[in-house]
Amino acid sequence: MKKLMKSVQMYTLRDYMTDRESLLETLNKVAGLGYDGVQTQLPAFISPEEYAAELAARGLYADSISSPLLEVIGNRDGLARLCSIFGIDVVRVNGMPEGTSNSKEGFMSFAEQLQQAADSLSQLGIRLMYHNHHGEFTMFCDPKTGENVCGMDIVVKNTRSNVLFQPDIHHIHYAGFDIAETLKKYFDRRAVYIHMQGYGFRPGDSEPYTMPVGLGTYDWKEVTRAALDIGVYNFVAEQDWCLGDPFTDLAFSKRSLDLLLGC
Amino acid sequence: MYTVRDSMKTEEQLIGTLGKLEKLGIENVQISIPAYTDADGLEKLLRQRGMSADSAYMPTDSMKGPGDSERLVEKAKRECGIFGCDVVRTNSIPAEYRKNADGYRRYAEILDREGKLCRAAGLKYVYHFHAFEFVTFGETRGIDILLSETDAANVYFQPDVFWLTNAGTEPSVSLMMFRGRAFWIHVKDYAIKQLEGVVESVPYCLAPVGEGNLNWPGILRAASEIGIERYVIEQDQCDRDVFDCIGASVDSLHKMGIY
Repeated sequence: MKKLMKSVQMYTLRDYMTDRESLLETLNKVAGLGYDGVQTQLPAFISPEEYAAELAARGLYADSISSPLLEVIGNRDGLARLCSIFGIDVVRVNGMPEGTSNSKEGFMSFAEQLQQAADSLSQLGIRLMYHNHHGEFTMFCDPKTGENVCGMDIVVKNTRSNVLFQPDIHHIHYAGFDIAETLKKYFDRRAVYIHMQGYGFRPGDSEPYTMPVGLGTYDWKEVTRAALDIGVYNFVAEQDWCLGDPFTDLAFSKRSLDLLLGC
Repeated sequence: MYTVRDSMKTEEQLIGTLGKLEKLGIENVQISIPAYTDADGLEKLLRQRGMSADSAYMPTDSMKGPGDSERLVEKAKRECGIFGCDVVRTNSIPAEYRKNADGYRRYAEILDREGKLCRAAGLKYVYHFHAFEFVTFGETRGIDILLSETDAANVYFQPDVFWLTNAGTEPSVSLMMFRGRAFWIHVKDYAIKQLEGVVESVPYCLAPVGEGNLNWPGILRAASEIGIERYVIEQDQCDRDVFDCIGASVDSLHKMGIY
Protein backbone atom coordinates (compact mmCIF):
# COMPACT_ATOMS: atom_id res chain seq x y z
CA MET A 1 0.00 0.00 0.00
CA LYS A 2 1.22 3.44 -0.93
CA LYS A 3 2.46 5.59 1.94
CA LEU A 4 -0.12 8.19 2.92
CA MET A 5 0.98 11.75 2.26
CA LYS A 6 -0.23 15.12 3.48
CA SER A 7 0.35 18.10 1.25
CA VAL A 8 -0.56 21.76 1.08
CA GLN A 9 -2.22 23.29 -1.95
CA MET A 10 -0.20 26.48 -2.20
CA TYR A 11 -3.19 28.43 -3.53
CA THR A 12 -4.12 28.67 0.14
CA LEU A 13 -0.92 30.65 0.68
CA ARG A 14 -1.04 32.62 -2.54
CA ASP A 15 -0.68 35.93 -0.74
CA TYR A 16 2.44 34.67 1.04
CA MET A 17 4.53 33.68 -1.97
CA THR A 18 4.62 36.78 -4.08
CA ASP A 19 8.40 36.86 -4.43
CA ARG A 20 11.36 34.60 -3.78
CA GLU A 21 11.90 35.75 -0.21
CA SER A 22 8.31 35.29 0.85
CA LEU A 23 8.11 31.95 -0.96
CA LEU A 24 11.10 30.57 0.93
CA GLU A 25 9.74 31.82 4.23
CA THR A 26 6.40 30.19 3.42
CA LEU A 27 8.12 26.92 2.56
CA ASN A 28 9.89 27.10 5.92
CA LYS A 29 6.54 27.39 7.66
CA VAL A 30 4.92 24.60 5.62
CA ALA A 31 7.81 22.31 6.48
CA GLY A 32 7.57 23.40 10.10
CA LEU A 33 3.93 22.36 10.17
CA GLY A 34 5.00 18.85 9.27
CA TYR A 35 3.50 18.56 5.81
CA ASP A 36 5.16 16.12 3.41
CA GLY A 37 4.81 18.21 0.30
CA VAL A 38 3.17 20.97 -1.65
CA GLN A 39 0.91 21.22 -4.65
CA THR A 40 2.13 24.25 -6.48
CA GLN A 41 2.41 26.19 -9.70
CA LEU A 42 5.86 27.32 -10.75
CA PRO A 43 6.34 30.99 -9.90
CA ALA A 44 8.02 33.13 -12.50
CA PHE A 45 10.56 34.51 -10.04
CA ILE A 46 12.37 31.23 -9.37
CA SER A 47 13.71 28.59 -11.73
CA PRO A 48 12.33 25.04 -11.54
CA GLU A 49 15.74 23.76 -10.50
CA GLU A 50 16.02 26.25 -7.65
CA TYR A 51 12.47 25.61 -6.51
CA ALA A 52 13.05 21.85 -6.48
CA ALA A 53 16.25 22.38 -4.51
CA GLU A 54 14.56 24.63 -1.97
CA LEU A 55 11.81 22.08 -1.49
CA ALA A 56 14.31 19.23 -1.08
CA ALA A 57 16.33 21.27 1.41
CA ARG A 58 13.24 21.45 3.60
CA GLY A 59 12.24 17.82 3.17
CA LEU A 60 9.28 18.77 1.00
CA TYR A 61 8.22 17.44 -2.38
CA ALA A 62 6.08 18.87 -5.16
CA ASP A 63 3.32 16.39 -5.88
CA SER A 64 2.67 17.44 -9.47
CA ILE A 65 3.46 19.81 -12.31
CA SER A 66 0.70 22.15 -13.43
CA SER A 67 -0.20 22.80 -17.06
CA PRO A 68 -3.09 24.14 -19.10
CA LEU A 69 -4.79 21.15 -20.70
CA LEU A 70 -4.51 22.53 -24.21
CA GLU A 71 -0.73 22.88 -23.87
CA VAL A 72 -0.02 19.34 -22.61
CA ILE A 73 0.50 17.62 -25.96
CA GLY A 74 2.47 20.45 -27.54
CA ASN A 75 4.66 20.90 -24.46
CA ARG A 76 5.00 17.25 -23.58
CA ASP A 77 8.79 17.24 -23.57
CA GLY A 78 8.87 20.42 -21.46
CA LEU A 79 6.52 18.86 -18.93
CA ALA A 80 8.61 15.70 -18.91
CA ARG A 81 11.68 17.77 -18.13
CA LEU A 82 9.90 19.50 -15.25
CA CYS A 83 8.68 16.16 -13.91
CA SER A 84 12.28 14.94 -13.97
CA ILE A 85 13.52 18.04 -12.13
CA PHE A 86 10.96 17.61 -9.37
CA GLY A 87 11.10 13.81 -9.30
CA ILE A 88 7.40 13.44 -9.94
CA ASP A 89 5.27 11.70 -12.56
CA VAL A 90 2.00 13.63 -12.35
CA VAL A 91 0.87 16.51 -14.54
CA ARG A 92 -2.07 18.37 -13.10
CA VAL A 93 -4.62 20.22 -15.22
CA ASN A 94 -7.77 22.02 -14.19
CA GLY A 95 -10.51 24.04 -15.84
CA MET A 96 -12.48 23.17 -18.92
CA PRO A 97 -11.54 24.70 -22.27
CA GLU A 98 -13.78 27.51 -23.43
CA GLY A 99 -16.98 26.33 -25.01
CA THR A 100 -16.94 22.84 -23.52
CA SER A 101 -18.86 23.32 -20.30
CA ASN A 102 -22.25 24.42 -21.59
CA SER A 103 -23.48 21.25 -23.26
CA LYS A 104 -23.30 17.48 -23.22
CA GLU A 105 -21.44 17.68 -26.52
CA GLY A 106 -18.97 20.05 -24.93
CA PHE A 107 -18.33 17.68 -22.09
CA MET A 108 -17.77 14.86 -24.60
CA SER A 109 -15.24 17.01 -26.42
CA PHE A 110 -13.56 17.80 -23.11
CA ALA A 111 -13.36 14.09 -22.27
CA GLU A 112 -11.70 13.46 -25.65
CA GLN A 113 -9.16 16.20 -25.02
CA LEU A 114 -8.34 14.79 -21.60
CA GLN A 115 -7.89 11.33 -23.07
CA GLN A 116 -5.61 12.53 -25.83
CA ALA A 117 -3.46 14.43 -23.36
CA ALA A 118 -3.31 11.44 -21.01
CA ASP A 119 -2.37 9.05 -23.81
CA SER A 120 0.41 11.36 -24.92
CA LEU A 121 1.87 11.62 -21.43
CA SER A 122 1.48 7.89 -20.83
CA GLN A 123 4.01 7.25 -23.57
CA LEU A 124 6.59 8.94 -21.32
CA GLY A 125 5.43 7.25 -18.13
CA ILE A 126 3.69 10.38 -16.88
CA ARG A 127 0.18 10.46 -15.44
CA LEU A 128 -2.43 13.11 -16.26
CA MET A 129 -4.60 14.28 -13.38
CA TYR A 130 -7.62 16.54 -13.79
CA HIS A 131 -8.58 18.63 -10.79
CA ASN A 132 -12.31 19.28 -10.92
CA HIS A 133 -14.40 21.84 -9.07
CA HIS A 134 -18.17 21.99 -8.83
CA GLY A 135 -19.06 23.27 -12.28
CA GLU A 136 -18.35 19.89 -13.78
CA PHE A 137 -21.27 18.51 -11.78
CA THR A 138 -23.78 20.50 -13.77
CA MET A 139 -26.86 18.46 -14.63
CA PHE A 140 -28.23 18.50 -18.13
CA CYS A 141 -31.99 17.98 -17.75
CA ASP A 142 -34.11 16.99 -20.72
CA PRO A 143 -37.74 17.88 -19.86
CA LYS A 144 -38.99 15.83 -22.83
CA THR A 145 -37.36 12.57 -21.85
CA GLY A 146 -36.93 13.25 -18.14
CA GLU A 147 -33.31 12.25 -18.53
CA ASN A 148 -30.78 13.95 -16.29
CA VAL A 149 -27.11 13.60 -17.21
CA CYS A 150 -24.34 14.92 -15.00
CA GLY A 151 -21.34 16.48 -16.70
CA MET A 152 -18.95 14.53 -14.51
CA ASP A 153 -20.68 11.33 -15.59
CA ILE A 154 -19.87 12.15 -19.19
CA VAL A 155 -16.22 12.85 -18.44
CA VAL A 156 -15.59 9.81 -16.26
CA LYS A 157 -17.41 7.35 -18.51
CA ASN A 158 -15.73 8.65 -21.66
CA THR A 159 -12.18 8.53 -20.40
CA ARG A 160 -10.05 5.54 -19.57
CA SER A 161 -8.24 4.69 -16.37
CA ASN A 162 -5.10 6.62 -17.33
CA VAL A 163 -7.06 9.84 -16.87
CA LEU A 164 -6.87 10.48 -13.15
CA PHE A 165 -8.97 12.93 -11.18
CA GLN A 166 -8.29 15.03 -8.13
CA PRO A 167 -11.65 15.59 -6.41
CA ASP A 168 -12.16 18.40 -3.95
CA ILE A 169 -14.54 17.42 -1.18
CA HIS A 170 -15.84 20.96 -0.71
CA HIS A 171 -16.63 21.36 -4.38
CA ILE A 172 -18.43 18.02 -4.43
CA HIS A 173 -20.60 19.26 -1.58
CA TYR A 174 -21.00 22.66 -3.21
CA ALA A 175 -22.40 20.86 -6.24
CA GLY A 176 -25.14 19.46 -4.01
CA PHE A 177 -23.85 15.92 -3.78
CA ASP A 178 -23.02 13.60 -0.91
CA ILE A 179 -19.25 13.64 -0.66
CA ALA A 180 -18.54 10.02 0.27
CA GLU A 181 -21.07 8.61 -2.19
CA THR A 182 -19.76 10.79 -5.01
CA LEU A 183 -16.16 9.78 -4.34
CA LYS A 184 -17.18 6.14 -4.59
CA LYS A 185 -19.46 6.63 -7.59
CA TYR A 186 -17.13 8.59 -9.84
CA PHE A 187 -13.57 8.27 -8.62
CA ASP A 188 -12.98 4.68 -7.48
CA ARG A 189 -9.47 3.78 -8.72
CA ARG A 190 -9.49 7.07 -10.66
CA ALA A 191 -8.17 9.36 -7.90
CA VAL A 192 -4.96 9.17 -5.88
CA TYR A 193 -4.90 12.78 -4.69
CA ILE A 194 -7.77 14.64 -3.03
CA HIS A 195 -8.33 18.20 -1.88
CA MET A 196 -9.51 18.39 1.68
CA GLN A 197 -11.14 21.51 3.03
CA GLY A 198 -13.95 22.16 5.45
CA TYR A 199 -17.07 24.27 5.18
CA GLY A 200 -19.46 25.73 7.64
CA PHE A 201 -20.81 28.72 9.50
CA ARG A 202 -18.94 30.69 12.10
CA PRO A 203 -21.00 31.74 15.14
CA GLY A 204 -23.20 34.67 14.22
CA ASP A 205 -22.60 34.42 10.49
CA SER A 206 -25.41 33.99 7.97
CA GLU A 207 -23.05 32.98 5.19
CA PRO A 208 -20.75 29.96 5.22
CA TYR A 209 -17.00 29.89 4.66
CA THR A 210 -14.35 27.35 3.79
CA MET A 211 -12.66 26.06 6.92
CA PRO A 212 -9.73 23.92 7.98
CA VAL A 213 -9.93 20.15 7.72
CA GLY A 214 -11.77 18.85 10.75
CA LEU A 215 -14.05 21.82 11.20
CA GLY A 216 -17.46 22.60 9.78
CA THR A 217 -20.31 20.27 8.95
CA TYR A 218 -18.73 17.52 6.85
CA ASP A 219 -18.58 13.99 8.22
CA TRP A 220 -14.78 13.82 8.24
CA LYS A 221 -14.48 10.19 9.20
CA GLU A 222 -16.88 9.10 6.50
CA VAL A 223 -15.21 11.27 3.87
CA THR A 224 -11.71 10.11 4.80
CA ARG A 225 -12.80 6.47 4.79
CA ALA A 226 -14.33 6.89 1.34
CA ALA A 227 -11.18 8.56 0.04
CA LEU A 228 -8.97 5.75 1.34
CA ASP A 229 -11.34 3.14 -0.06
CA ILE A 230 -11.13 4.55 -3.58
CA GLY A 231 -7.34 4.57 -3.50
CA VAL A 232 -6.34 8.08 -2.45
CA TYR A 233 -2.93 8.33 -0.82
CA ASN A 234 -2.15 12.06 -1.06
CA PHE A 235 -4.40 14.27 1.07
CA VAL A 236 -3.96 17.87 0.00
CA ALA A 237 -5.10 20.49 2.50
CA GLU A 238 -6.57 23.51 0.83
CA GLN A 239 -8.69 26.42 1.98
CA ASP A 240 -9.99 28.68 -0.72
CA TRP A 241 -10.61 31.48 1.76
CA CYS A 242 -9.03 31.88 5.19
CA LEU A 243 -10.68 34.45 7.41
CA GLY A 244 -7.74 34.41 9.78
CA ASP A 245 -4.08 33.48 9.45
CA PRO A 246 -3.83 30.72 6.80
CA PHE A 247 -0.83 29.14 8.53
CA THR A 248 -2.92 28.73 11.67
CA ASP A 249 -5.66 27.13 9.61
CA LEU A 250 -3.20 24.85 7.84
CA ALA A 251 -1.76 23.83 11.19
CA PHE A 252 -5.24 22.83 12.30
CA SER A 253 -5.78 20.96 9.03
CA LYS A 254 -2.50 19.08 9.54
CA ARG A 255 -3.48 17.98 13.05
CA SER A 256 -6.88 16.91 11.76
CA LEU A 257 -5.34 14.91 8.92
CA ASP A 258 -3.00 13.22 11.39
CA LEU A 259 -5.99 12.16 13.49
CA LEU A 260 -8.15 11.13 10.55
CA LEU A 261 -5.43 9.11 8.85
CA GLY A 262 -3.97 7.70 12.03
CA CYS A 263 -0.44 8.64 10.99
CA MET B 1 -45.98 31.70 -0.92
CA TYR B 2 -42.56 33.31 -0.44
CA THR B 3 -41.91 31.83 -3.88
CA VAL B 4 -44.50 34.13 -5.44
CA ARG B 5 -43.93 37.12 -3.18
CA ASP B 6 -43.41 39.44 -6.15
CA SER B 7 -46.76 38.35 -7.58
CA MET B 8 -48.90 39.09 -4.53
CA LYS B 9 -48.07 42.66 -3.63
CA THR B 10 -51.68 43.73 -3.95
CA GLU B 11 -54.93 41.90 -3.45
CA GLU B 12 -55.54 42.00 -7.18
CA GLN B 13 -52.17 40.37 -7.81
CA LEU B 14 -52.86 37.78 -5.13
CA ILE B 15 -56.14 36.86 -6.76
CA GLY B 16 -54.40 36.35 -10.09
CA THR B 17 -51.63 34.36 -8.45
CA LEU B 18 -54.04 32.08 -6.63
CA GLY B 19 -55.80 31.48 -9.92
CA LYS B 20 -52.54 30.38 -11.54
CA LEU B 21 -51.67 28.15 -8.60
CA GLU B 22 -55.11 26.57 -8.73
CA LYS B 23 -54.52 25.66 -12.37
CA LEU B 24 -51.26 24.01 -11.36
CA GLY B 25 -53.15 21.82 -8.92
CA ILE B 26 -51.99 23.54 -5.76
CA GLU B 27 -54.45 22.94 -2.92
CA ASN B 28 -52.60 24.27 0.11
CA VAL B 29 -50.54 27.39 0.54
CA GLN B 30 -48.09 28.34 3.26
CA ILE B 31 -48.56 32.09 3.64
CA SER B 32 -48.18 34.96 6.02
CA ILE B 33 -51.28 37.18 5.84
CA PRO B 34 -50.49 40.15 3.58
CA ALA B 35 -50.94 43.60 5.07
CA TYR B 36 -53.73 44.48 2.65
CA THR B 37 -56.09 41.80 3.93
CA ASP B 38 -56.81 39.78 7.03
CA ALA B 39 -57.42 36.14 7.91
CA ASP B 40 -61.07 36.28 6.92
CA GLY B 41 -60.33 37.99 3.63
CA LEU B 42 -57.54 35.59 2.78
CA GLU B 43 -59.65 32.58 3.69
CA LYS B 44 -62.42 33.78 1.42
CA LEU B 45 -60.04 34.13 -1.53
CA LEU B 46 -58.61 30.68 -0.90
CA ARG B 47 -61.96 28.95 -0.45
CA GLN B 48 -63.21 30.39 -3.73
CA ARG B 49 -60.54 28.23 -5.36
CA GLY B 50 -60.88 25.18 -3.16
CA MET B 51 -57.59 26.04 -1.52
CA SER B 52 -56.59 26.46 2.09
CA ALA B 53 -53.83 27.96 4.19
CA ASP B 54 -51.89 25.28 6.02
CA SER B 55 -50.83 27.37 9.00
CA ALA B 56 -50.80 30.67 10.83
CA TYR B 57 -47.61 32.68 11.39
CA MET B 58 -46.51 33.92 14.79
CA PRO B 59 -43.02 35.46 14.93
CA THR B 60 -41.20 35.47 18.27
CA ASP B 61 -39.80 38.91 17.64
CA SER B 62 -43.31 40.33 18.03
CA MET B 63 -43.26 39.30 21.69
CA LYS B 64 -41.85 42.33 23.38
CA GLY B 65 -43.61 42.53 26.73
CA PRO B 66 -45.65 40.68 29.35
CA GLY B 67 -48.76 39.13 27.95
CA ASP B 68 -47.61 39.41 24.34
CA SER B 69 -47.10 35.66 23.98
CA GLU B 70 -50.55 34.81 25.28
CA ARG B 71 -52.16 37.47 23.12
CA LEU B 72 -50.34 36.31 19.99
CA VAL B 73 -51.16 32.68 20.63
CA GLU B 74 -54.81 33.69 20.89
CA LYS B 75 -54.49 35.52 17.59
CA ALA B 76 -52.82 32.50 15.99
CA LYS B 77 -55.54 30.24 17.34
CA ARG B 78 -58.19 32.50 15.90
CA GLU B 79 -56.47 32.51 12.50
CA CYS B 80 -56.06 28.75 12.59
CA GLY B 81 -59.76 28.49 13.32
CA ILE B 82 -60.53 30.60 10.28
CA PHE B 83 -58.13 28.63 8.06
CA GLY B 84 -59.20 25.24 9.41
CA CYS B 85 -55.70 24.23 10.45
CA ASP B 86 -53.81 23.64 13.66
CA VAL B 87 -50.23 24.62 12.80
CA VAL B 88 -48.41 27.80 13.79
CA ARG B 89 -45.09 28.67 12.13
CA THR B 90 -42.49 30.94 13.64
CA ASN B 91 -39.47 32.91 12.43
CA SER B 92 -35.80 31.96 12.23
CA ILE B 93 -33.59 32.51 15.26
CA PRO B 94 -32.73 36.22 15.39
CA ALA B 95 -29.12 37.24 14.87
CA GLU B 96 -28.65 38.30 18.49
CA TYR B 97 -29.02 34.70 19.62
CA ARG B 98 -26.73 33.17 16.99
CA LYS B 99 -23.38 34.28 18.38
CA ASN B 100 -22.75 31.33 20.67
CA ALA B 101 -24.18 28.13 22.07
CA ASP B 102 -25.66 29.98 25.02
CA GLY B 103 -27.65 32.15 22.62
CA TYR B 104 -29.07 29.06 20.98
CA ARG B 105 -29.99 27.68 24.39
CA ARG B 106 -31.78 30.89 25.33
CA TYR B 107 -33.70 30.81 22.07
CA ALA B 108 -34.56 27.16 22.59
CA GLU B 109 -36.17 28.24 25.87
CA ILE B 110 -38.22 30.85 24.03
CA LEU B 111 -39.33 28.35 21.40
CA ASP B 112 -40.25 25.81 24.04
CA ARG B 113 -42.21 28.37 26.03
CA GLU B 114 -44.15 29.52 22.97
CA GLY B 115 -44.61 25.96 21.85
CA LYS B 116 -46.04 25.00 25.20
CA LEU B 117 -48.58 27.81 24.97
CA CYS B 118 -49.52 26.72 21.46
CA ARG B 119 -49.84 23.12 22.55
CA ALA B 120 -52.17 24.14 25.39
CA ALA B 121 -54.26 25.93 22.76
CA GLY B 122 -54.42 22.78 20.63
CA LEU B 123 -51.88 24.03 18.11
CA LYS B 124 -48.61 22.63 16.76
CA TYR B 125 -45.70 25.06 16.84
CA VAL B 126 -43.20 24.76 13.97
CA TYR B 127 -39.73 26.23 13.55
CA HIS B 128 -38.45 26.49 10.00
CA PHE B 129 -34.66 26.48 9.94
CA HIS B 130 -32.19 27.37 7.23
CA ALA B 131 -28.48 26.54 6.91
CA PHE B 132 -26.87 28.80 9.49
CA GLU B 133 -28.36 26.83 12.39
CA PHE B 134 -25.81 24.14 11.52
CA VAL B 135 -23.04 26.31 12.98
CA THR B 136 -20.76 24.17 15.11
CA PHE B 137 -19.94 24.91 18.73
CA GLY B 138 -17.34 22.32 19.64
CA GLU B 139 -19.03 18.94 19.56
CA THR B 140 -22.54 20.31 19.03
CA ARG B 141 -24.38 22.46 16.53
CA GLY B 142 -26.98 25.16 16.79
CA ILE B 143 -29.65 22.88 15.35
CA ASP B 144 -28.73 20.14 17.82
CA ILE B 145 -29.25 22.57 20.68
CA LEU B 146 -32.65 23.64 19.33
CA LEU B 147 -33.68 19.99 18.96
CA SER B 148 -32.40 18.73 22.28
CA GLU B 149 -33.41 21.68 24.42
CA THR B 150 -37.00 21.88 23.26
CA ASP B 151 -39.67 19.41 24.22
CA ALA B 152 -40.70 17.24 21.28
CA ALA B 153 -44.32 17.79 22.26
CA ASN B 154 -43.94 21.56 22.20
CA VAL B 155 -41.76 22.35 19.18
CA TYR B 156 -41.72 20.83 15.70
CA PHE B 157 -39.37 21.64 12.83
CA GLN B 158 -39.92 22.18 9.14
CA PRO B 159 -36.79 20.97 7.31
CA ASP B 160 -35.83 22.30 3.90
CA VAL B 161 -33.80 19.93 1.74
CA PHE B 162 -32.01 22.77 -0.02
CA TRP B 163 -30.85 24.36 3.21
CA LEU B 164 -29.83 20.98 4.61
CA THR B 165 -27.57 20.68 1.57
CA ASN B 166 -26.30 24.24 1.83
CA ALA B 167 -25.45 23.51 5.45
CA GLY B 168 -23.02 20.83 4.30
CA THR B 169 -25.13 17.78 5.03
CA GLU B 170 -26.63 15.12 2.80
CA PRO B 171 -30.40 15.68 3.22
CA SER B 172 -31.31 12.01 2.90
CA VAL B 173 -29.16 11.47 5.98
CA SER B 174 -29.75 14.67 7.96
CA LEU B 175 -33.54 14.42 7.61
CA MET B 176 -33.37 11.46 9.99
CA MET B 177 -32.53 13.74 12.91
CA PHE B 178 -36.05 15.13 12.66
CA ARG B 179 -37.82 11.82 13.26
CA GLY B 180 -40.79 12.59 15.43
CA ARG B 181 -40.11 16.32 15.14
CA ALA B 182 -41.34 17.13 11.61
CA PHE B 183 -44.42 16.48 9.52
CA TRP B 184 -43.87 18.85 6.59
CA ILE B 185 -40.75 19.62 4.56
CA HIS B 186 -39.84 22.30 2.05
CA VAL B 187 -38.76 20.91 -1.28
CA LYS B 188 -36.70 22.60 -3.94
CA ASP B 189 -33.63 21.48 -5.83
CA TYR B 190 -30.00 22.51 -5.66
CA ALA B 191 -28.40 22.98 -9.05
CA ILE B 192 -25.21 23.97 -10.79
CA LYS B 193 -26.28 25.67 -13.98
CA GLN B 194 -23.18 25.74 -16.14
CA LEU B 195 -24.42 28.41 -18.48
CA GLU B 196 -21.39 30.61 -18.31
CA GLY B 197 -18.33 31.27 -16.24
CA VAL B 198 -15.39 29.14 -15.24
CA VAL B 199 -16.17 25.83 -13.60
CA GLU B 200 -14.59 26.73 -10.29
CA SER B 201 -16.63 29.84 -9.68
CA VAL B 202 -20.07 29.24 -11.17
CA PRO B 203 -22.56 29.72 -8.31
CA TYR B 204 -25.10 27.19 -7.15
CA CYS B 205 -28.71 28.04 -7.76
CA LEU B 206 -32.15 27.04 -6.60
CA ALA B 207 -34.17 24.99 -9.03
CA PRO B 208 -37.49 23.18 -9.33
CA VAL B 209 -37.64 19.72 -7.84
CA GLY B 210 -35.93 17.29 -10.18
CA GLU B 211 -33.85 19.83 -12.07
CA GLY B 212 -30.80 19.77 -9.83
CA ASN B 213 -28.40 17.46 -8.10
CA LEU B 214 -30.27 16.39 -4.98
CA ASN B 215 -30.75 12.73 -4.23
CA TRP B 216 -34.55 12.64 -4.48
CA PRO B 217 -34.97 8.87 -4.07
CA GLY B 218 -32.95 9.08 -0.85
CA ILE B 219 -34.75 12.20 0.31
CA LEU B 220 -38.20 10.71 -0.25
CA ARG B 221 -37.22 7.49 1.49
CA ALA B 222 -35.97 9.42 4.51
CA ALA B 223 -39.00 11.69 4.51
CA SER B 224 -41.34 8.72 4.45
CA GLU B 225 -39.42 7.04 7.23
CA ILE B 226 -39.62 10.01 9.55
CA GLY B 227 -43.31 10.52 8.87
CA ILE B 228 -43.44 13.51 6.56
CA GLU B 229 -47.04 14.09 5.50
CA ARG B 230 -46.71 17.07 3.18
CA TYR B 231 -44.12 18.36 0.70
CA VAL B 232 -44.24 22.13 0.46
CA ILE B 233 -42.91 23.45 -2.83
CA GLU B 234 -40.79 26.54 -2.46
CA GLN B 235 -38.22 28.26 -4.64
CA ASP B 236 -36.64 31.36 -3.20
CA GLN B 237 -35.25 32.42 -6.58
CA CYS B 238 -36.38 31.39 -10.04
CA ASP B 239 -34.33 31.76 -13.19
CA ARG B 240 -37.48 31.68 -15.33
CA ASP B 241 -41.20 32.32 -14.85
CA VAL B 242 -42.03 31.47 -11.25
CA PHE B 243 -45.23 29.63 -12.15
CA ASP B 244 -43.31 27.57 -14.70
CA CYS B 245 -40.92 26.61 -11.93
CA ILE B 246 -43.74 25.68 -9.57
CA GLY B 247 -45.38 23.64 -12.30
CA ALA B 248 -42.11 21.83 -12.94
CA SER B 249 -41.84 20.96 -9.25
CA VAL B 250 -45.44 19.71 -9.24
CA ASP B 251 -44.76 17.52 -12.28
CA SER B 252 -41.59 16.12 -10.76
CA LEU B 253 -43.30 15.28 -7.48
CA HIS B 254 -46.08 13.53 -9.39
CA LYS B 255 -43.51 11.47 -11.29
CA MET B 256 -41.87 10.60 -8.00
CA GLY B 257 -45.18 9.30 -6.69
CA ILE B 258 -45.92 12.23 -4.44
CA TYR B 259 -49.52 13.39 -4.80
